[in-house]
Amino acid sequence: MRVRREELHDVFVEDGRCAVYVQDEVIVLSPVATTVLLATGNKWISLSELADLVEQEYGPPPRQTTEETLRGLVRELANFRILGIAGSSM
Amino acid sequence: MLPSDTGELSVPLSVMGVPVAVDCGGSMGSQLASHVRSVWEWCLRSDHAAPAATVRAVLDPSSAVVASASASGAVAHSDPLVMEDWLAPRITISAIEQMAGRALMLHACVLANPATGDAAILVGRSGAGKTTMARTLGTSLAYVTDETALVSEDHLVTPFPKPLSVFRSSDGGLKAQRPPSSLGLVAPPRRPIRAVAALLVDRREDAPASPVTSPVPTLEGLSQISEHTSYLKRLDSPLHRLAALFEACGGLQQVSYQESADLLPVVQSLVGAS
Repeated sequence: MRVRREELHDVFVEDGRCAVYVQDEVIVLSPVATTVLLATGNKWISLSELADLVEQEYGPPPRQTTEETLRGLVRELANFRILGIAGSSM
Repeated sequence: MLPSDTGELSVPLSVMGVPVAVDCGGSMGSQLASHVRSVWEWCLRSDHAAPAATVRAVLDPSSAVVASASASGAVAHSDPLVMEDWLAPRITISAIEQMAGRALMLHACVLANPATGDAAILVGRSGAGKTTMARTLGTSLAYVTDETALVSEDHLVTPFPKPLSVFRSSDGGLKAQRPPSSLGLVAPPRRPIRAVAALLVDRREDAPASPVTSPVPTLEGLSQISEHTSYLKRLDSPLHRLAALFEACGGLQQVSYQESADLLPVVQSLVGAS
């Protein structure tokens, strides 16, 4: 799976979280989701690269792998059109 | 073609700083123009600037005239009460469209210290009681607007003391427009009006007897306030603009209350008018 940021009107970051203005809505993201968003840009990034970044900051999750945990988060962000996703293991 | 050439009378208004012409036509156009001048008393413009927007309004008993005017984009009706209800929002919208992408526009009642111009922006959804707040508190504090707070990058608020829209008791669906002076409201100060407080209003029957204010974290505030704006996404860095306003106001606060009159000491304190 690969991920990139969709077109956003604005992102405001404060104390490790952020508010994202996407479409007609302003959504407040969790710290992990903020890390994911800030790691993405216009270019595609692989889920494993994202997982490395998140694990460096937060350590491994108690259950599952970081990559497995992120898969659900990334899908959720894609549902809000904050991230675009591509790849065969979607 | 000038309005006089078409039998129309033009009323020049300043709506949130936007020069707007209300061209009144139809066989009752003169009556309509007088009414517009009367109720928009604090928005009348005396300069000769060309209007940035024009609202055409036609009041005429003939259904054919009304249909023709409507088809050409005018606000048109044969009933003066319906015209009164329909015209005010069209005038406001004409200015909002002109300011899209140029200034922050919040759906808010704004009240100011008449002596200093320090102002509180009370943001609320439609029906949250902004007009009631303006009517109740605007006799002690300066009435800046009950509709849209147009806020510049340096947090100055452009006065928009429009007529207050109130439901007619005899005709539930239509709103009458009341000139601010007829309600004893205090006119906006002639000095710059600076936002010093931003509140999200929350009127509830089960609110505490005395108003309670509580800080709203910036990110949650951005999410909540964004729902009460016009053309926010047309601005550059819109969330940063809103966050800067919150910061200039010492943070966004929520105020829960039962009756508008209870808010007077809260707002007076915030704008230093105690």
